[in-house]
Amino acid sequence: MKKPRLKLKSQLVLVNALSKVVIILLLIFSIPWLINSLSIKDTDQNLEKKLDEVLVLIDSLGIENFIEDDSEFQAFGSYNILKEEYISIEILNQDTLINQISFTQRIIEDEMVDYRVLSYSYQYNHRFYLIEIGKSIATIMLFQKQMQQFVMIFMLIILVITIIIEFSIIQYFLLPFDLIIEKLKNTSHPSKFDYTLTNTSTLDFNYLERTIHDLMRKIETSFNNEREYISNVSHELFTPVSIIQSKLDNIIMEGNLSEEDMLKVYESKQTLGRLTKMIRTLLTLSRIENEEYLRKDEVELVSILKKVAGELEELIGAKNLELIQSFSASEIKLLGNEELLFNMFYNLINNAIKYTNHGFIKIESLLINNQPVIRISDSGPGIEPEHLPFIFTRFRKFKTGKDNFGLGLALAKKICDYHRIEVLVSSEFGIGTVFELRIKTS
Amino acid sequence: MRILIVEDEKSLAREIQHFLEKEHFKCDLAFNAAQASEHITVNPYDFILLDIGLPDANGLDLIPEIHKHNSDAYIIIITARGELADKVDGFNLGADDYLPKPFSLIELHLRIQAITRRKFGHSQYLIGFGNFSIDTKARVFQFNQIPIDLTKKEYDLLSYLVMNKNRVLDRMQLTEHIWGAFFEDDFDSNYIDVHIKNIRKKMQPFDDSNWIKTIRGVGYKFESAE
Repeated sequence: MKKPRLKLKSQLVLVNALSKVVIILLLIFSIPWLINSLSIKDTDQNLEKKLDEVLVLIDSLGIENFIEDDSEFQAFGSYNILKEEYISIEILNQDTLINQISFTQRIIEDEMVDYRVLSYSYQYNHRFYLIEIGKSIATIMLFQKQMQQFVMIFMLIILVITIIIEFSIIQYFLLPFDLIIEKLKNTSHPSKFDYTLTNTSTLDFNYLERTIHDLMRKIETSFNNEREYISNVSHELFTPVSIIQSKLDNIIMEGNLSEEDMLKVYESKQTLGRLTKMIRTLLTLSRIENEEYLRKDEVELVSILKKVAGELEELIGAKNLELIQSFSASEIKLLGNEELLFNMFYNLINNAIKYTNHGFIKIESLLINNQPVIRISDSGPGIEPEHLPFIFTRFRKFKTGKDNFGLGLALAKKICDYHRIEVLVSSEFGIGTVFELRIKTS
Repeated sequence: MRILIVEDEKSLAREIQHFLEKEHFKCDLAFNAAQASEHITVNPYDFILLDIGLPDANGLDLIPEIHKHNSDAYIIIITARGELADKVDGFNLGADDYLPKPFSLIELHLRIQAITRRKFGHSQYLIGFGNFSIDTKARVFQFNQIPIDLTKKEYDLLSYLVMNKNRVLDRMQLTEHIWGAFFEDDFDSNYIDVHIKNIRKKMQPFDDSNWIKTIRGVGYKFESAE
């Protein structure tokens, strides 16, 4: 599929303008040609009428009035002062019949003039005469040029005016459409959707909007049901857990039991703790999927990273690992949820510490091709290549190791997705693992 | 100090009561909103633990009533619903704290202590045992005015144990307190042992007595007769 780039409004205006330009170009080139051929036809008719008049004159006055037998030049010529027209009669020494109209150039008084010339052979007293009637076409050419300019200017003005008018009309008619689109763009969550109908006289838009509203209501309802459900599950599961935990807390704190019984109670509490954390993580996953977390804080990732590193510094020290921190990108800002992002970094770094028994934990922020990147690397045992694609899958168990990636990484991945952060994992078995987070800043 | 516990799970309410009464708080119980209203209008309370999911009402609806009759009471919301909106609404309505269930009773006690300190402007930020003293304001640990250098987590751990003296604190509780209740489900709480070992090592040159008792396999107890 092609990536859409243009708005409907722009497309309409563009197509309209283009078709107009084509039509106008056609007109600009065809109108002068039309005028030209029309005026030539007109000229030709004129010439023929003039010929008839001349012939009538010759008939009534006799050819001797034009060509005297004894004159030096056996020809007659006449043109008016502006050299727009001329008539010439001369004796033709052959008996070919000529009757044609053509363009010719004549030099008259050292001036080259373009003429449309009617040549006609005429028999009078057993002699052939050639009558030529010419009409200057300079005026025609001039007219043609002027016409072309005029048409061009006129058409350009028309073009601009019509485009402006059309643009405003399209703008006007598509305004409701724009408003609907704008409303959708501004809606981050169905619960925030504004259900007031856009004022429009266009039936299609109205239908479109009503359909969107119906769908939005359905989505909103399902979001709400889901939220309600998560909340109920949370309540139903955590209430009994809470009761048991309080009782166990009281038993342990009082410390009146035998060592053996204390241990049993503590083990029960640990199991309960595991259950609690699992439920909490699952509920958090569901809440993220249901988009219940706001992403409105202006969050600075490097400072969160430093805070998490500070929290886990002593743990790293306790395992005799080296903590390497390098923040060459000193500030990475994005709109998000600080609490979730803190948890995500905590999970990733804690995970790295958990599996690494010697060497280092490295936390970096840097810019790669202007894109902010955060890298968390360790010198741990690495992840086997066949497991790598599944480390973000919930409860995935692996045959070989006893390791179960649990829910921690699934949650980290989900939080990254929620913030449009791309996560890349590379791991070399026996050498270490690198989590690379590529951040799209707003 | 008088506390009203508004909680529909009777078993849980009694467990909280049992714990708080040992801490010398006087506790009343209300298992629904109607009972709670009755208590609120009649008795003055310093703290009200308020569950949101009551059978006959939303706990948050009681907040205006509390403000009317018990304007000095501190309201701590407790809920198992985990709704993010509840937390925001609760604070907007004027609740002072929020504890998601399940919570540790010690954590509840710490919150109450913190609020009490704020409320009564307690100058009680110095806790002493033997010749040691902990300044909770400056976060300094001293022996006869000689400062003993503790790391941040060691300090947190020691002051937590001292503040809950003569009580067994299990490793899970200690872990959650100093590292937070994060989402990992199999956190290795043995690091607590490393930190305790370091604290003991740092205290030993000054005072050889066994302040922090090990409860084998479970956790630690700070013992002091004072």
